[in-house]
Amino acid sequence: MQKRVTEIKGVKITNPDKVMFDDPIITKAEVVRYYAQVSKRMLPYICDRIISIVRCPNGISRSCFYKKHPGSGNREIVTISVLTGDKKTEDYFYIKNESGLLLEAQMGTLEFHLWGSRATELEKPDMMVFDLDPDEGMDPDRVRQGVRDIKAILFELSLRSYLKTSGGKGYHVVVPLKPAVSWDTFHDFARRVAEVMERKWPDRYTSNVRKANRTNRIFIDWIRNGRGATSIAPYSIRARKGAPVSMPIAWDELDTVAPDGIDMKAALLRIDSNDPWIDFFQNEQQLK
Amino acid sequence: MFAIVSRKSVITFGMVAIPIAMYTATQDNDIHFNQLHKDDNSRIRYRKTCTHCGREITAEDIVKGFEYDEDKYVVITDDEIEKIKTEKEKSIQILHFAQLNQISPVFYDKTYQAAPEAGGEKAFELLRSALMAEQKIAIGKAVIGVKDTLMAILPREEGLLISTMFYADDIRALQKQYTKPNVSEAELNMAKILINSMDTPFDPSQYKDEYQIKLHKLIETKISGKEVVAAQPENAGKIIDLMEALKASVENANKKKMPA
Repeated sequence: MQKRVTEIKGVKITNPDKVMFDDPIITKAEVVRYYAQVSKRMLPYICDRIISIVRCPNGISRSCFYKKHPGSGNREIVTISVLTGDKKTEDYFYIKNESGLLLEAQMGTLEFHLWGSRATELEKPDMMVFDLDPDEGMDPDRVRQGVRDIKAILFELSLRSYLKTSGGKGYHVVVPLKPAVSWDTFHDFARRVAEVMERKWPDRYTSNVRKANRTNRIFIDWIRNGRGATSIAPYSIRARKGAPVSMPIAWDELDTVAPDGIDMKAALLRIDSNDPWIDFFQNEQQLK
Repeated sequence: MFAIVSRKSVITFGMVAIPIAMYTATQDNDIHFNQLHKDDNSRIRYRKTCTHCGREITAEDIVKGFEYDEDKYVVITDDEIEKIKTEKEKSIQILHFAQLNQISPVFYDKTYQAAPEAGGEKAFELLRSALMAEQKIAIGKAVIGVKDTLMAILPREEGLLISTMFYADDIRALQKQYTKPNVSEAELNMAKILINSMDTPFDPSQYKDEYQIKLHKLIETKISGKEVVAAQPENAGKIIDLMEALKASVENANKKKMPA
C-alpha cells in the first residue's frame, strides 16, 4: 500500500492508515481524529499538567512503552525541570494546546496520564483521584456500591466529586480542589479517606495495596495522589483491546455504564451531548 | 490511697546496716468474681475438714507438718522457724554488685519500694546515689517466710526498689531456639530508623487495662438494671474522629450550593 500523508487540524499525519487497534480496526488517523474531536473537552484537564504517556508506535499488538521524559518529536510540548526526591532534577513535559495533543497522537501516543497538580502550581495539587480497583471477578454491583460509598463519604466531608470510567476494571472518583495545600497534606487526606472506607466497612474495602489483603475486597487506590504519581486523563483512550476510554459520566449513569463500557466510538457519540462534568472547574472546595 | 507497710528489714553490707521498710509497689485493681450457686446465687465456700474426725478446721487449729516418711509427720511451728533464723538471715545481705542492664528481666519476680527507717536515711541515700551513679544493682539474700530469697536492690531517682528474684533453677530454658539469620548492614539501618522514628519516652499513664474498664462498666450497667449490650467495635468511635479531622481540613465556599 502506498504511504499517504493526511492533515488533521493543521497537524500532518504520517501513515494515517496504520492499524492501532485490530478487532475492530482503528487506524492512527481515527485516533488523531478522536483526540481532535474531544480536545475541547479534554484540554482543560490536561493542559499545563505534567504527563506520562503510553505510546504504541505500531499499534497495541506490538510493543508499547511508557514515557515520562520529553522527546524531540513534538515541538509543541513544554519541558519542565522538576526537583525529584534526592535533590536531583529531572525533565518532564506537558502540553499547552490542541496541536501538542494531536502531535502526540501522531507519534503513536494512545494514553495520557496526569499529575495531580498544574505546572504553574506544581507543589499545590488540585485534582484528587480515587481509583476503585476490584478483586478479580468481583460482581460489578459491588464496585458500584464502592463508588457510591466513597461519594457519600466525600459528600459528608462537603466535597463534590465526579465520576469517570477507568476504561479498565474500575471507576475513578475525581475531586477538584483549589490548589492550596502541600502534597503531603493532600496525600495524607486521600489516605485517610481510604482508611475511613476500610474501617467503616472492613469486609468490603481495603486501603492496603498488597493484593493478599484484597481477596474479595475493593482496593481504594489513594496512592496515585502523591507527588510524581499519575492517573489516566479524562477522555484518554486506553491502549487495550477495543480502545476503551476513561470517560466522564454522570452519577446517575453509574448503574448502566460498565468501567470499560465506553470505547472510542461511543465516546465520540457522547461528546455532542451534555457534559456531565460541566461545573468541574467551578468548585470552590479546597483543603487546608 | 495509703501504702501498707509490708515488712521491715535491714540492708547489710560490710559493716553498714540500713534499717528499711518495704512497701508493696503494685496493687491489684482487677475485678474478682465470687463463685455462686446458679439456682439461688448463694456463695460457694471451700471448707477445710479433717480427714480423721471430719470436722471443719479453722486457721488457728492448723499447724505445719513435714512428711518425713509415709504418713509420718514432724510438726514445725512458726515460732520454731523464727527461732532458727539468725539476725543475718532476717536482714537483706548484699552479696555483690552487678551491672544494671546485665540481668535478664526474666529473673525479677515481685517488686517492693524501700524507704529508710529512722536513723538509716544517710546510708540509704548514699547507697542509692552511688548505685545510680555507677548504674549498678545490688544482689542480696534474705529469708522470707521459710525461703531463702534472692533479691535485687535497684536504684531509682525517687528511691530504691527491691525485687525478689528467681533462682536459676526456677527459670526454664528457652523452649524454642532459633538460628539467627544474617542481617545486612542496610537492613539493620532500616530497622534502626524505624525504631528511632517511634522512639518516645515510656509513659505508663498512657496505658490502661481496657478490659477491666469495660468490666467495670458492665457491672455498673447491671447494677443500675440496664440491659447489657454487645461491645461496639472499637473502630466505630475512631471513624467519627477520623471524619471530624478530615472535615476540619476541608474548606468549601460552594457548600451552600451543594445539592442535598
